[in-house]
Amino acid sequence: VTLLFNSAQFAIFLPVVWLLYWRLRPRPQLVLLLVASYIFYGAWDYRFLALLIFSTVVDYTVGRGLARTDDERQRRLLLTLSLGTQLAILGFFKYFDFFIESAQETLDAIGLGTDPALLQIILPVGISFYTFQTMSYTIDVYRRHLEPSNDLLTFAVFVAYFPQLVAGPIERATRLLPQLERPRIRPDTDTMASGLSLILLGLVKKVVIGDVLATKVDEVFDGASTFGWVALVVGIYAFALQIYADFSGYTDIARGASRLMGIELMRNFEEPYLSRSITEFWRRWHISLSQWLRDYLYIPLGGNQRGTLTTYRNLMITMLLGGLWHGANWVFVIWGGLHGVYLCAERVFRRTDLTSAPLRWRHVPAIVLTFQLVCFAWIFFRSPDLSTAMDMIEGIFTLRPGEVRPDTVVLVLFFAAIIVTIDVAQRLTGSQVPWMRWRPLPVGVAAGTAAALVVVASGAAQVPFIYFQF
Amino acid sequence: MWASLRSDVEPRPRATGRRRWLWVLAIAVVTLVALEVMARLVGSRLPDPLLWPRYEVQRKIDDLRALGADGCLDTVVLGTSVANAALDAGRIEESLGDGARVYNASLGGAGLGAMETWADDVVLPLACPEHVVIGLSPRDLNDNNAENEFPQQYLASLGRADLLDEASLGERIELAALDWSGLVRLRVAFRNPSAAAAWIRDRSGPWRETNDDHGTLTRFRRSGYDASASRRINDREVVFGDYEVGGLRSRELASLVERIKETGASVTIAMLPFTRTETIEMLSDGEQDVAAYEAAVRAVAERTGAELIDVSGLATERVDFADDYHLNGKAAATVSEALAGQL
Repeated sequence: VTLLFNSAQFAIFLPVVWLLYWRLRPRPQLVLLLVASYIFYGAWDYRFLALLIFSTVVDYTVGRGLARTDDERQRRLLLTLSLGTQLAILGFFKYFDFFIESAQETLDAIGLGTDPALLQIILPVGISFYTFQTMSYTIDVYRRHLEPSNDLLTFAVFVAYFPQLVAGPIERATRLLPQLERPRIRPDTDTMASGLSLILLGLVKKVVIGDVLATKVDEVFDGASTFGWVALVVGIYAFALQIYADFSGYTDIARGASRLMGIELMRNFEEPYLSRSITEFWRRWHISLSQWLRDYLYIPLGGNQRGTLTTYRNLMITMLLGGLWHGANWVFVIWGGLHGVYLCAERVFRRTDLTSAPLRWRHVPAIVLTFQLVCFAWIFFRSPDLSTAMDMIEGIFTLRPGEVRPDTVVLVLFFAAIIVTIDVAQRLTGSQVPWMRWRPLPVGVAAGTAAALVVVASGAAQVPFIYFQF
Repeated sequence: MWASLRSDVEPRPRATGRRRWLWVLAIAVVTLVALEVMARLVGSRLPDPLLWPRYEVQRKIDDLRALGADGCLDTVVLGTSVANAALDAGRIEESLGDGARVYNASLGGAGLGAMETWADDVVLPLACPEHVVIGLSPRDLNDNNAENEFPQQYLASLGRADLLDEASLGERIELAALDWSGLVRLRVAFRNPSAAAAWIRDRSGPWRETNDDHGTLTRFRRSGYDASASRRINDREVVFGDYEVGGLRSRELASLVERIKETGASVTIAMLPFTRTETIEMLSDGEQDVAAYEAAVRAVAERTGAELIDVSGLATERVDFADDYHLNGKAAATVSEALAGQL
């Protein structure tokens, strides 16, 4: 039994937790959240609960240690202990086999064939998210940006909070811990409505758009060497929509569910496909990760303060590691590297930052161009291996002939229209739930239609969220 | 490169109160009910919801249920689409005479592993056959055949979960909803809009895939298969890629034979015709691979005590086939009669 957001089990789990939650006082509420979060996580694989608890205890203890000493050497030692532990956990479970295999391939290439022992390690779900979240806590405490938590229960909820545990947003302790430490206010009707509408929006994105497109995308990438170039291009666009709908849908459900508990999670997406540059794209796509990389990697490396060449180096390092964060596969490294190259090229050729500028019709060419660049990089992200990616690219650039399936084209256009409409409405109103200001009739019709679409599109086989694998 | 976000907390919505949201809820419910009514109206013109990977599976289960209700069958054929096209159960019945009851339970895309699951789940319990013919061609024995879409879909299908009484909570809800909700029944059409439109227009499209009374997929006879160049490239890489025999697939075949024999049924392995030139062209070691395939089948038959019939020589030219793999109706009749003569 897994508690996927798009499962019948979660549809029972969330209301039960919610009903109990608001019958309790603040402290028991935290106990309930912790128990619920551990049940939520343990439902995937209870064995990895121990890892989650270990990670929690280590960083809580390190945080307390940092609070007790002003000695810089000791503080650095404690920070190293914490980061070393988290990175060791991440490295072992996520990258061990990858590095061994890569080393083997290198040795084979130079004629020193080996037969190394691969451990076939199972990747604990959400490990990249919660390790990054706890690392940010320790670093913030070390930098004295944050008072360390003196309550293990609160800290454990911060690490394991179920709405965002397995696929983010990667919350900062400075945002989430204060909300857990003070008593939560029971949401009023409007807040409840906005939370529920976020959940419904997330389900539409995930179940209606993401899952339906998933089968079309799988077909194309499975037959990368045989499909014609039009089908391949349509397949890549389909994946661009699928991954956005899937991941932002997850975040919407997470934020909506959390809002029902009186806890606000950060926005993780701000209409990324309306970006006018790659720089802007990274301010709008997976915001919690890009901010994490900015604050704990790019800036410590020197950011853009140490000359042009160092800035390019820092951008490349940040994006390559950002790519590797997604998975132990060279395709992710190349995906990150491509974005690094894009960002460097933009720094060379472009100076105007349009992130805060309102949308204008004249921006359409820049939006379209940015989207094409992002889609090109998605080829590597989605391909299971480099040869598939090269088959895709070869098929497109040699204009390989072949038929295109009309169903896929119809669905891609239909879903693109839905996503663009929602994103433009969100951008123009500055709200993720713009319908909160509409009259009851259109809101009711939209909600009823959305619910009907979820019913029509949902199926027995639940498709896990893409980012669970990271 | 990065600047601060514009905002990560959106503006708080204007306070509107409970009464407004009760209105919204009421309108949403009315909309949902209206859409349900519309779905029922449209739904009557759409095909039945699909509980299995394909309608072919659903139809064969219905056939086997109906046939099994009248007593055990004499002979059942197992295999992939190649066996489905090659062995005409009606012809075999005629040739066997004496009121023999024969059914072709082959499934397109089913590998040997899935064939055993299919036999276990459906064919053996419903048809309780006295004799089973397993039809094979070189593609079935390739240990490195990476085509596994159908087996995965079959194992994960709602129909199988229902049949084996292993449905999860969500699946049970869905099965119940299929009975009373027009919206739920629209699901297949939603995922294949152009095919749904074709169905409404002229009742064609994938949902017309149907079997004759003996299990043969009639679509094959009428319109042939996808014999496009891209299909050949895919088959060369995926189905025949790194052609190797004697390992996994041979074990699966042996396991299937043993499983059938456990029920008391006798087993015949039939080596079916395949297009010599085209198939050899797709195999990396050509004739050598074909010889290896034949030796592997013989070895399994010997080991398991299954009878072996080789009808592969009865049709070898492309003219006998509807495409690169599947016999046309005329050749299938010849092969079926020849096989029946040796049973």
